[in-house]
Amino acid sequence: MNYVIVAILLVLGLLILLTTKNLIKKIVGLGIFQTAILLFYISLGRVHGGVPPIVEAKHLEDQLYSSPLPQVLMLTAIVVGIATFAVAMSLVSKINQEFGTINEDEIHEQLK
Amino acid sequence: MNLLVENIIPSQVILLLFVAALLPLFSKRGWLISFITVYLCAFVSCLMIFVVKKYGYVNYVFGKFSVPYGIEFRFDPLSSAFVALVTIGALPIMIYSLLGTKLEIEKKKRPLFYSLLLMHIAGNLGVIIAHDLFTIYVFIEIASITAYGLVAAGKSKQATFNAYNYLIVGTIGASFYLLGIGIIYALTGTLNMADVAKVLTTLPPTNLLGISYICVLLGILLKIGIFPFHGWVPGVLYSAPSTVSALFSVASSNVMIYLVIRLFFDVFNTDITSFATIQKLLMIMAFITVMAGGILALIEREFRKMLGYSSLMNYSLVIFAIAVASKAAIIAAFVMLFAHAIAKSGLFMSAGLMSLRRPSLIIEEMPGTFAKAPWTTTAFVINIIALSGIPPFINFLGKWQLLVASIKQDKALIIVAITSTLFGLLYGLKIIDKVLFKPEPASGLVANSSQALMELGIIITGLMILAMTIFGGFFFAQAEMIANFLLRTLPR
Repeated sequence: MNYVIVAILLVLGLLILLTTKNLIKKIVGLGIFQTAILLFYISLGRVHGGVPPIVEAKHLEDQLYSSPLPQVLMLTAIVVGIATFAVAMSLVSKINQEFGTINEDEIHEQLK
Repeated sequence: MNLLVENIIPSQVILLLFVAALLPLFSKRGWLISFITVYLCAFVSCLMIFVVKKYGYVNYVFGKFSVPYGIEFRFDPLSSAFVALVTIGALPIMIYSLLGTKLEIEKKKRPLFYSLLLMHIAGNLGVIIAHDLFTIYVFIEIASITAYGLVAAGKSKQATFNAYNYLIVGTIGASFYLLGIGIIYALTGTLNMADVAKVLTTLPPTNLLGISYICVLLGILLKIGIFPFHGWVPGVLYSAPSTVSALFSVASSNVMIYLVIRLFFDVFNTDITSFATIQKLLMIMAFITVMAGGILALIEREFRKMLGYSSLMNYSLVIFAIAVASKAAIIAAFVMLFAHAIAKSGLFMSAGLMSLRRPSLIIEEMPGTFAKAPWTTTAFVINIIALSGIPPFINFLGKWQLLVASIKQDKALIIVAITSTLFGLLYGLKIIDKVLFKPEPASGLVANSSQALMELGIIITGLMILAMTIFGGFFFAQAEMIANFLLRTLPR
């Protein structure tokens, strides 16, 4: 189920990136695309019948644990995503100052 | 392996990131500090070449976690060569940047600019040294996010918009890479490259594995700017500050090519069918990009955009030769890649010097260069000749080697080798004709005393090309060593 949602979000993000002309909406599309990948990793860590990977006193030998590694990796990826998002937003604000618009077609028009 | 050698391995990346973080505090001495830092890194990478020669490969594991679990940094013949290329290639650019940034960046922003520059180099070195797929992703993003900032520092109005486009393409590329290694992680349960390669040999080749390979390679090729995703390349190189365009031709795309080589030979070579499929895929994409890049470089009228297209052509030529995966072709690929990086950085620095006079460098209207700076002009001509593969410089030797290799190999390689040489010849001659044989070289690369240091950077790149040509034997021997190293695990 999770993987279906991942696929839908991936396609949705790419679709927004390709079709919209608004620079901020493009960043939103990029964000959806990245979030889909985050969800993909987190779904990988889930083990059916697994419990959170915390070793307790009454430790059972045949106990299944979920994998904590993908979540840790995704913490880093979230930070990277936020950094990209912040850089993109500041670029858009500077574009707005210089061109007076954030529509891609109008900017191309001005650059001609 | 002694303790000193082990601790030197991560020292470059740590030193660069540390200095980059502190640099904004020292507003006055920004250039001096960053130059010394890059110089130290270049020294260390020379040292590592000899260490690698002695030990085969050396690695450093963070936090003493044993290898498949911990993050590993590794120097082997391939990575030490690329680290040397990035750090030594960055030296003349740092010399140039003293005045280059003075003219192109506001005084208030200069320390931050140098800080980003060092972080960009650190990210690129990290991609080369890290031996862990996810760590490589993080370093790719460090290198790219700083690259977006560096491009946006350009003076012209387009710079911000081009940086934005670069950001969109670059982030899509990195995300595809992340998706691909996610699938690989799901299949193998490990992220360490050597371990992934070991586990993959035990797995049957499935469609899912193929999808992961395609995602990873697509992501990397997007960041190189392979056709039809090449639209951002010339704009970025055109509007970025000249220091940054020069650094990009030494660092960022070359490092992505390193990643293609590393994954293609060391990780994805598990079975003969998937290896052959990736080989075909890379060949087709590189072939189309060689053609498109060459044609676009010929019809482009702006000097820096032309250089951008010619970069694309050269990178995809290298990828093609790598994909052929014969010893002679790999040697040719390395010689061409290294010569191209140095020559192209010199040309971007020359373009920066010329654009002091006029902001747009239309080739027909470019100033004649023989005016008052004979040494810089000589270096410029050496770089142009070396770029286009006209004898007698090193790139010609590389292309000759490629032709020799192609005669023994298949027909596609002959076509690519000959057409790319022709394209290179045509645009090189066009530049030489338009710039050098001006009837009245009135102005040009003016030799003010204040520009002497900028010119020094360009002259050093010319000297590097000369040195590469004179010590061609040594250079080819190094390339052969890397080729032997790469071909050791090839499935037969």
